[in-house]
Amino acid sequence: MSFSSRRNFLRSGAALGAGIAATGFTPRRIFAQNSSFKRIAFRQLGSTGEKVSEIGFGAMNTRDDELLEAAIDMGINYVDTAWVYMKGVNEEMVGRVIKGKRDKLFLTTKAISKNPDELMGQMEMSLKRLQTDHVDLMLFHVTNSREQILNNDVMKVFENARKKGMCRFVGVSTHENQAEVLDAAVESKFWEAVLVGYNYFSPPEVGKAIENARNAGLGIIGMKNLLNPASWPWKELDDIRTDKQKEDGKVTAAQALIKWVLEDRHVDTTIPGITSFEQLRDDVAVMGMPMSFGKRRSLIRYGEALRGNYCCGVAGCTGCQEQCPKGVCVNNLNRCLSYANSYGSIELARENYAQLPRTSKIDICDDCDECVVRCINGLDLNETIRRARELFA
Amino acid sequence: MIGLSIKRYSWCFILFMFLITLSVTVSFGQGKVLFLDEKLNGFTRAEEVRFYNGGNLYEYINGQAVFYLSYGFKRLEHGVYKKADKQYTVDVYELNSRLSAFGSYRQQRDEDADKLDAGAEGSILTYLTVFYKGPYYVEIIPTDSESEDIGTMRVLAAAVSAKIPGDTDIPPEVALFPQKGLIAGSERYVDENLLSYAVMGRGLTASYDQGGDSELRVFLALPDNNEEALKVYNGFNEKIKNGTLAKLEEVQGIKGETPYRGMAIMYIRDKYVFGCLSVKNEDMAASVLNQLYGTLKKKQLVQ
Repeated sequence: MSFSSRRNFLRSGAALGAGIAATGFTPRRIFAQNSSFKRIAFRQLGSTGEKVSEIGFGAMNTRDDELLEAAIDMGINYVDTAWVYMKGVNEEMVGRVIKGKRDKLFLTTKAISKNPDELMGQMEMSLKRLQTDHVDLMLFHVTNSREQILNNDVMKVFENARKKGMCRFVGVSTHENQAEVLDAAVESKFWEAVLVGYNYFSPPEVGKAIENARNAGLGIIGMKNLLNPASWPWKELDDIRTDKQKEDGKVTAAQALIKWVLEDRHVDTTIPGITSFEQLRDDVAVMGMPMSFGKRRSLIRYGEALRGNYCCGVAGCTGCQEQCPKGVCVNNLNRCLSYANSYGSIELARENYAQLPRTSKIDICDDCDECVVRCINGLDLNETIRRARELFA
Repeated sequence: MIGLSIKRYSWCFILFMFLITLSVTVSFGQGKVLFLDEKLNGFTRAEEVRFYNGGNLYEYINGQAVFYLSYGFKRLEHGVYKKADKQYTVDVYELNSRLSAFGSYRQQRDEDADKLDAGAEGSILTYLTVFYKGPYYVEIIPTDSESEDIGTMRVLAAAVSAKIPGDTDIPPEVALFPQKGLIAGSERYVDENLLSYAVMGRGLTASYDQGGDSELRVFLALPDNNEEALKVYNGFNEKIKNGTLAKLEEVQGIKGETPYRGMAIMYIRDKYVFGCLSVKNEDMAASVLNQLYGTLKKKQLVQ
């Protein structure tokens, strides 16, 4: 789909969008005036007072300078990298591109270590690679527990970095136990933003924790919007579109999934990983895109196509945990089955199953006539057990 | 008679057990330790080796898995080694090919790092050692700052490298680039999104000094066949504005402007699409492409 056809598509959906806004979907959006794109939209990042583009640039796997350069020219102002990405080469790339443009951008990087003493060294190295004296947001990377979030030694390092002017704001990133981390971040009264895995399949408690955190003034940055890359069914889902639909500019599954996240008014920005100009084009087009009835229908269609085969565990769902009286983690079985169902690789499914703990093996299910575990999303777990027996017994 | 039957059933049983063993070996091949032995030249493995495949690599390195998946990731063997009070993680990634391992290495190595004499190419910093050999890309990382010892990591890297089979040469495709003016170590390879365009597929790039701060970026797309090559050529052609015809010997091409890479020149011959970007010195660009085409002909890669 060409840029112009997508822009026309977006324009045509504007009236519907206004109607939807009247029904309660009113994200804090401030449309850019000086961008080459008419619908680039910004939101306030928590209580920081900063305006960030709805679509940020996830640079983690970006290889070419020109791609980030193009994104910045298009109006994206939120750039996300980390000390650890590409062993530092990623920060160097970002540093080259943002030179001379630093003041136009909201720059985020991340430090990661079990040892708080090592964090400051990483932050200093990041600034050197990024060729700047400060980043806007410094994140404590990959946290998954309340204890990590409330660790005084870690907070002291980040506070020190903020006092030294190395960063303006501090936050955390979380890939699992998102709700616990978000709640702890609020409790801390220290962290100012959370980068959180959040997508269409995230369980309600994650959405609720995001709402609470945003209401408490924390900035919310959504990631993993396109689901777990390891189970990327959206690549196939893109192909659901007929050629006619592609010509007509129907929304892609990836766009619909990002849009779903942005429809949550408690999310301030998202950072899809961008590795090609084609992706950049599609992701940028989501900004300011009203969620028309047609798009919502498309998303539901994509979602429901996934839901029948897809366990939401990777989106943070823990709904079936601890339900089985014999201790079987059905979501683990589902994860293994997804390799057969989504990838079509029975071998991969069996390899993953082989690595499961003894407590999750299918032979434990032999004592039960029917699975008593109930999936909160309506996944047929008896079918899971039947299929697991077929492949793994 | 009964004895013969027992014998026959014995053979059947042996054959049956052999097939079972074989199938188990094949099924759980990913769980077999190939490189990270319990002892490696004075280092002792501190815990069981863990394995990851394309399905669960995400559980180990989150979104960075995308990077390795883009290089045709097949398998990761992950171990932790100790020697005295020092401890290191060792990750051996099996990728699609030698070229993929080369690509992964070149994309992530620090150009200011010291050279490491392991594998085909290697580099070493206090906090990171990387090298590749055959289709394997290897990372060695100290688990704490006390273990940041280059000498110790060199020994461990050499021991790991010795366990890994494969060529210790740079992949031959990389040598297709002309040497004159080539910026040392600038060659890169990607399995997809060459020049960050999905339509370009896999291929190589290299940079040449054009004088001043200017670098000429030469690319060589590597589609599977002539038909795919035409798609690549036409796809990139759409990005070139104000295109005019260009000619290299008997090969037709196009010359024009690109939004972020200045002037571009591109040619197609059989299944190869090659060209350059950021052209400041047209004579130099023509010379480099001429040499590249000459090499493709000399090696009989094109008719």
